[in-house]
Amino acid sequence: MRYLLKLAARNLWRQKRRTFLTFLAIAVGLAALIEVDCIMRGVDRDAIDNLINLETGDLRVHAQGYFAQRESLPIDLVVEPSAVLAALGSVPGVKTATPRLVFGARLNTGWEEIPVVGVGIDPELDPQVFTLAEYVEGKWLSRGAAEALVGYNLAQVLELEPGDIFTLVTRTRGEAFQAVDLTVTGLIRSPHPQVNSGQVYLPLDVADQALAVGGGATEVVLRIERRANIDEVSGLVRASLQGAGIPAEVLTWRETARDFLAISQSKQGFTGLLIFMILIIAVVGMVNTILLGAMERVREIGMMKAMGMSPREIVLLFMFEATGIGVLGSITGCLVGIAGNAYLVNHGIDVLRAYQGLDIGYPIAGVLRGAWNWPMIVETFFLGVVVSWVASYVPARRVAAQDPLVSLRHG
Amino acid sequence: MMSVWGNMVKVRPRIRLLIPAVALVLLTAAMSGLSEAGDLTAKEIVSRMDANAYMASAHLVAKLVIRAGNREITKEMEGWVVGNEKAAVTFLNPGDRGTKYLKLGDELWMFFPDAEDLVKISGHMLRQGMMGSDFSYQDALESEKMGELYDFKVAGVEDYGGARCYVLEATALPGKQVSYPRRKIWVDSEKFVAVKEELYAASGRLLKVSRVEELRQKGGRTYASRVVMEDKLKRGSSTTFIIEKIEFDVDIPDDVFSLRSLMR
Repeated sequence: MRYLLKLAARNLWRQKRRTFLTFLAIAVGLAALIEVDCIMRGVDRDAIDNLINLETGDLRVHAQGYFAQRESLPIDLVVEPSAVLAALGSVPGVKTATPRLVFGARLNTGWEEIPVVGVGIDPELDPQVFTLAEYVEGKWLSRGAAEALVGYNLAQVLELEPGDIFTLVTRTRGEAFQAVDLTVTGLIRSPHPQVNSGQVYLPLDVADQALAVGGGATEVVLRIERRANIDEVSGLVRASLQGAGIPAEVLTWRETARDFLAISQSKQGFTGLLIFMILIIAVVGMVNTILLGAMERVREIGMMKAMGMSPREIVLLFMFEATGIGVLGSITGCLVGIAGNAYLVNHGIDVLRAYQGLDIGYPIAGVLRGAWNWPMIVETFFLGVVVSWVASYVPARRVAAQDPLVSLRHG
Repeated sequence: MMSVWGNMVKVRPRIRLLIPAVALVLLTAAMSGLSEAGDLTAKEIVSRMDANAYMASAHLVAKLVIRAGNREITKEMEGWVVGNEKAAVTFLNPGDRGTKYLKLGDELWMFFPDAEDLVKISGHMLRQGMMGSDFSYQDALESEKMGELYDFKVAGVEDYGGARCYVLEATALPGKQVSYPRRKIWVDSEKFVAVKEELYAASGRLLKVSRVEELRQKGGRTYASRVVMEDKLKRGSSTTFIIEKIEFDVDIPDDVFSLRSLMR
């Protein structure tokens, strides 16, 4: 056995070009596999973070029936924030909560008018639930002030800058036209494209007065202590609201982000297909290289058999050689993959910069960052070794079974 | 004399119809012979305006000139109106040929010939300008109930466009859903035609102004044949509605106002 191992190592060294080609096929295939998984995982993680931190929160409380009509942004289905916040005060697992008033509007600059989503926020409570404040270039909102934060891309289209005044045209709860003059205090350049391109934030009390909602909020958004306990906490919140006699619907971020998750799921299917294709290419490359190597060595094999080597020993020799290349290729592929991952995780790639204004229905903008997936890297390593080993078996058996005379003549 | 002008009164619905009828509505058609302008209450003024505005039916050919900054687009149309419940419009200009609107009571339907698609205008769409004009869909739909939605009072008398006008202020009745919580209307004191109207937002901000630029006579009626609607929130944005040809009290088959005819 030791003799076979030595011979296999010597063969690998002797046939440098063949070894290198097989090794390259494995290394490149596995590195690509690791990179694709890294970026896909990172995109999903960031999209979910953006969604929760800038759009849905962990849990949301709506008036009964609001969610079914959410597309039309109704402002007649509201909850009373003070009552909801009071009922949530004693629920274990709830960290903090903030009310929001979301409504349809048109941003009018005097020469252009664009449909937007207006969001009334509590300037003091909102940053405890959402991370919006981290992305504001300019001044944050103040309660009672006729001020607004405008998405960066929207502001660019309308040539709005901090200090400019625009008119928000909307409807009151009673369906009357409303026009409110607001001063831009800051622009939002967030990693969520919909926030950047279609939203205007204003103080909740100003929105409430303009829309004549009477102190209501279309949603009360909750931040919970541990996201892993979200189902348990949502049950407690539901019970608490019921106990307080507040008719409301409680939705987890997974339920509110159903559309996104559907896209994400189809994307996962695509990712799986992509990984499978890369795997097939890598395996075919490896099998092909090993097979060609075996065919190239028919004469050599005939000679080895003529000198008394058994078919089993020849199969083992081939498999040792393939496994050796597999180990080298897997190590290299994983190292390259890890290096690439390190870059993707720490720096990312700014492929979306040119498309910042484009809403692809996926809550991610700017730099695409990767995410570590160590189990995947370990699995990839073993995959490389096992595939090389298995791939070499069939051609090895085929050449080992040939008559030495035929092999010698054929070679 | 002025004391009666301050009275808050409810008035019966004023007739306001779909786009071809908007001019008739915004401004009202006036019948001659009701020109003795004495000291009238707001109720009396609005009643006379309503009486003048009423028509059993009409068929008209009209133009819509939409201006936005330096751009100008002209749309041509043919319309049929019956009472205040039914109206149908077909666009004739090459760019919009075959686009049709149908108003049946409180419902508004639109047909796009290219997509062969029938759409009911509702929700957010009602806030948008019809065919890119400064008339919103809501402008065309809501106004027939105006008398039930507003209280009117006479705010004064002013000269406007060479005519003596009553200035009426309309304020939405409490609890009523209206597009414009406040309106100010200038009514010709001889012809009882609204020659100017200002439409205000809940905040008191002036949103739109409509002005009559031309009055014509036909069959004993005076009607506004040229009306300009200005969006006061958009610089240089206005829409002129011009009635080129109109016939009153014509027979219109019921079929004209069916969804099936909209798709034909």
